[in-house]
Amino acid sequence: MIKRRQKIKQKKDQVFKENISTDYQQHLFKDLETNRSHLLKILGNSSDIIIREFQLGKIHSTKAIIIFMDGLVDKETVQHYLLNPLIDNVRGIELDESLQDAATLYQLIKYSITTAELSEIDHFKKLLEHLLTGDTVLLIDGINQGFAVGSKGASERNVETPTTQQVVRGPKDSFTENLNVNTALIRKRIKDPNLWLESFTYGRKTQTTVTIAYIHGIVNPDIVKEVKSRLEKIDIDSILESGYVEELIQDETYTPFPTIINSERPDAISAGLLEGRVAIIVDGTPFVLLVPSFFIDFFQSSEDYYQRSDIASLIRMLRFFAFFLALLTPSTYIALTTFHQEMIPTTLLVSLAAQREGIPFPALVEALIMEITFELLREAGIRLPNPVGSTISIVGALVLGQAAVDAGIVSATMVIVVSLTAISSFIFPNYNLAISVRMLRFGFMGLAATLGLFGIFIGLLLMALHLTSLRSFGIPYLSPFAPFNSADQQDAIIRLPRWKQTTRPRLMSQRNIKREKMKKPQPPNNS
Amino acid sequence: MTEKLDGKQFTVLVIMNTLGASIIFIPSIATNYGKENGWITLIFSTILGVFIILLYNQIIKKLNGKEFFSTIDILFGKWLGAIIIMLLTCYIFINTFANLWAISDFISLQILMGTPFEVISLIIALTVLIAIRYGIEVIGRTAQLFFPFTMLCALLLTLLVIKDADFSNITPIFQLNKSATIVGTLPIVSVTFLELVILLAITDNVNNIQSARKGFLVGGFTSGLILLVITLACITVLGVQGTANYAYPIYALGQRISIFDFVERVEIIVAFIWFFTIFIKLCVSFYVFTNGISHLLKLKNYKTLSVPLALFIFLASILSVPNTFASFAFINGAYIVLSVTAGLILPLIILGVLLIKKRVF
Repeated sequence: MIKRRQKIKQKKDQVFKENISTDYQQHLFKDLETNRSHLLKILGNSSDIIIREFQLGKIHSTKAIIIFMDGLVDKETVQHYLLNPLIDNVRGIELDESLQDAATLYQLIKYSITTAELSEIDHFKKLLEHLLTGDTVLLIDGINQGFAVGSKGASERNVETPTTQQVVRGPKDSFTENLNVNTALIRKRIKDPNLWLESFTYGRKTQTTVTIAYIHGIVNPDIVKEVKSRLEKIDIDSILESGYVEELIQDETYTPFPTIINSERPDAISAGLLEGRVAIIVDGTPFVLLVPSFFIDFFQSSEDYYQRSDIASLIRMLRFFAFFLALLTPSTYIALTTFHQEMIPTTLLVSLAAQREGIPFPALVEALIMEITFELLREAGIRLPNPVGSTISIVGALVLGQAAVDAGIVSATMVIVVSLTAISSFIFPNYNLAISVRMLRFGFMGLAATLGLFGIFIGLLLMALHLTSLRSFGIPYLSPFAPFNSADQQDAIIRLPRWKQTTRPRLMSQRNIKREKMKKPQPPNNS
Repeated sequence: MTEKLDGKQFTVLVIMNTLGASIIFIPSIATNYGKENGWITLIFSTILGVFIILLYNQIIKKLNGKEFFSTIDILFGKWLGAIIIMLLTCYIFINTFANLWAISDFISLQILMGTPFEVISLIIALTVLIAIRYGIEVIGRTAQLFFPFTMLCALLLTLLVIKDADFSNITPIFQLNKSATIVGTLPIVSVTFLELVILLAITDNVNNIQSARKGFLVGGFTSGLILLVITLACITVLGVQGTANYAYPIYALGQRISIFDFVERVEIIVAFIWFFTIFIKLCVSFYVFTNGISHLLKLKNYKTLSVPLALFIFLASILSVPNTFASFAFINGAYIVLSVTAGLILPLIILGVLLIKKRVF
């Protein structure tokens, strides 16, 4: 029964597919009107198609049409470099019947159209490809061929300052939704012929361009091969953001930890490329993926490399500290107050006990109430429009914080614990890791409430086991710590001064390992 | 299987396996035998241990990256090989559940007083199960990841109690109890270095034989040194009677720590060292145990039987050891015989046959 149903369904799918493909595979007709009606049939008379009809030549004039999608093309280009020359230049020419073969006409068109891109089309499939990406199509009566003229010019957002990954010192430009602008931003920084780009199209409906970028000679060719083979497996109807690609090519889906890093900063992506990574740029989103990525990458900001190395190292350590704070503060509070009171110094214990005296809930419930409230505030703060956003912070800080303590629902210490957690979770340069910490925090709270510090330690062990089992494009996620690599410690928790970082990360690429030849800068000898 | 450990990870595993069960028992065992010379017992044990490791290294060299269990099969034939593997697996089994019992007992006595022993034992058994299902590579890396913290804790422990040290506790040096000091090496070696025979079964996972042998030696020597320092600290700070009377002298050592009357009761760091080392030891021995059983039953994947075997280990840990004193009697009695059989006599036989049957390899 089920099998039969499946068969019927398969058949239906097939029929639908065949209809479409025969429509698409159709060769262009000789007759202009047939072409036009066929195209309109395929596109369902969509209202954004603009068709302009005109005459070519003086005597025996031939009908021709140009077709483009409203909003996708730069109308100036169409007007000045396509329509004007065709109408003005060709109008004077007496078209002979014998001239109407494709070759001669091609010469004629080539002679008169002055845009940079021009290509021949013969199938509707090709025609649609060009038309839907913003090119203008020229069809002429009596010829079963057409021309696609490059006239892409949809309105785009300009290059602006990054909104999610801000720095105090460093370049202020960020990627946009336009793929070509994005690749140009990378090329501007790496003027090397070995920076290679390869483009693919994915998404049956969206036909999204996905470009991978790498520096030939630095990158490990196996990784490029792996990236390509994983991309090839993508068969999906739509790709609207790089998150789609990320989810389809990552090593492990069921993990709270991100194994692919994204950035909207061209400088961060360029630095990644120079380390031997592969960038995956998806059209339509400013977030560019960088593979392979490691756990440590989520603690590094591009600003670390622009600031002095000592402060950069200290700030990185602070981030690691914040990671554990964000992960473990509530659970440690629960464990200490529930199981290990003896570990709290007596004076503190007395004041804690005094605070918790009037509170009706156990520590876990108290912590859960506050943590969930905080998560609600956080999510509400993101979704609300800007003018209302400040209201949320007032409500959160004053009403929920102060009033909850006064009402005796939670203790003041708990409010401190939750705010500490909140602040710590905002410190990471990359938002992804903050999300994983958010999820894991609740698990740790449960473990702490049932098994105390022992439970927290079991949780940490499980987390470590899971982290060490992860890989990003075949390379251990926790490198350079486990497996330990002493050479790569130069840019892990601490960042050594530039002149000491002479090698590229070892695990990613064994080739071209030397980065620079630099000696310690020294003042000139005064003789 | 393409799982690979590197030399460093193997070294860490050796250290963890040596310290594992012993770091918390050794001071009191050594002091029971040698009294104020307990630390000298450790010196002897380390020297003996280095020789034992040299013996194992010879086997590793002869194995030359081949799998331990299947080599035994080739060397001794089907039946004799199976018996030898069975003997080894039994030893590893006892080792595994005894360690599981030890850690669960410690936690239920010292850290989570209200939680029943069975719950803790089950949770640890399940964690170990998850760990071995990830594979030996992940265990090695996790050990490597936590190793610096473990060493830091051990260092802190000894440094922070140094102000309480009284060196009159170890005098007279090696004047009394000479024979007992030397006899004491037997139980100590049997719970530390002889148990390293288990690691022979994972040497085929090390990517470089040379680094495995070096790691074995370095790891064994380092852990001998750590045990020596810890025992010395226990005897000098707690005194001979103190060390011998505590079930967990090193834990008592941790309880002594007090910095400016604020950082107090940090014995949890001791619990951390102890728990982590024994956890890794449990993982490795359980991994080898499941591998041994799978080899005997000709199973392709060790993971197939891992769940029932984990429950088996859990039950054995509940049922087999009646109390702490029974465990001490076991360590000082029957366990020595077991360890010497499995850790010394069997490897000697294997090495002998390996030397004779040179042509096989």
